[in-house]
Amino acid sequence: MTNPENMTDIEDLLPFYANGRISAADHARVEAALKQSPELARRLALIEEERMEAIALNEALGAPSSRALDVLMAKIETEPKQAAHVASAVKQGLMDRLGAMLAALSPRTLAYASAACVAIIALQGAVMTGALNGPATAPSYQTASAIEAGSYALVAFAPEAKAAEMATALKAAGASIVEGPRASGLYRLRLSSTALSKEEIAKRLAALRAAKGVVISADAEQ
Amino acid sequence: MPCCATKVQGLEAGVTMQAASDEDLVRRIAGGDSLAMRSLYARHHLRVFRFLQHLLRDEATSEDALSEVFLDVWRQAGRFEERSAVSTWLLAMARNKAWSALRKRREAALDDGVAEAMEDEADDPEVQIQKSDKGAAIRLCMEKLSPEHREVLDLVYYHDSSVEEVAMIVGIPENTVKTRLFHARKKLAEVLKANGIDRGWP
Repeated sequence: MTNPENMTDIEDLLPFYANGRISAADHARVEAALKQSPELARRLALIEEERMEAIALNEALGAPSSRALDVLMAKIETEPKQAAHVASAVKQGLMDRLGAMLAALSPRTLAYASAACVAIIALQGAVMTGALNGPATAPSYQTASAIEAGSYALVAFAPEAKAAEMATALKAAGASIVEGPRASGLYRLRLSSTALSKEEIAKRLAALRAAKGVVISADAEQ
Repeated sequence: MPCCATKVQGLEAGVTMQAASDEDLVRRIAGGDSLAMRSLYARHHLRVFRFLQHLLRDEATSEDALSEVFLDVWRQAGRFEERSAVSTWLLAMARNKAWSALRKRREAALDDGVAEAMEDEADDPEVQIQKSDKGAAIRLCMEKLSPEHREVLDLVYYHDSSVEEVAMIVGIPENTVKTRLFHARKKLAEVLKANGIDRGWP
């Protein structure tokens, strides 16, 4: 079977036979040819020799300094944050567009923005209450603790979770993403802008966890 | 389920990330997860760097190109369609960076009126000295090959790439991969022979 034409064909396969990246059919052809041809086996030995030296050559090249990673991470910090899989889920409606905009913000920016929004809403509420009730004896502002008012959860989504599935899970729990992903991969969700009872929080978390294959973990933020 | 099948909270994030496949990491990077970026970098930077350095032969330029490759990962992760392995994607981007740098270097050399140094296949005292150590001689002669030949040898011998992967990384048809590999090996044999080492092939 090892006529000159076959020999060339098989010889072309030898480097891939040597590195193990060959189909089962070609592997069998090479094996059969090697048994019949000592010359082919000798040529395979030459390839093995070259391969060994190529590996040694590359291993001797060393490693990059930490500068390469430092430069990379510094550049990434200046890049616009990505949340494509979240943003792509939302293509309709004002609230959806708002969600996409929030998803594009960095966690820190988002946290500040969320805090600012909560503070504005609280302030607006205070002003309205003051306007309705007339002059108040107590100062008409909210304390800083109002920023953290509400009930929150920390959730890990499965990496393969589709944005539409995530949106469905969030809707079922009446939750919305306010921050994330954090460095740990967790997202911070707002379950409610008011403090919920333990039972209600447990119910919401159960709704999130019920999204099998989408939500990996869901726990109340302490 | 790949990655994060276990409860994340309370676990070291690194432990969770180690279980993630390359594709999982790229998906997380597309979502802006910088920790996933670090994990992918930790897994692949060495091989990508060596591929770059073997083509560029300059550590600083190779490090710059390495950063650029992974910055492109950050920017393009959302468009990665998983038609190839992540490692193939990385090497293809690295190759583009390396060849772009090589072209700039050649243009700069021409602008300076300096002729592009041709690969010297003549007998070399350094190789002569190494004749007693055949392995060392083969390594030295590999270094004397053209970048086109070096990259195909590196991809097949060191990166264990298949014909299809080399075709994808280098951007040539699969049949050309085999031809180019043959010519790279033939050239290596000729350089070795010119330096007094005849292995009886081709």
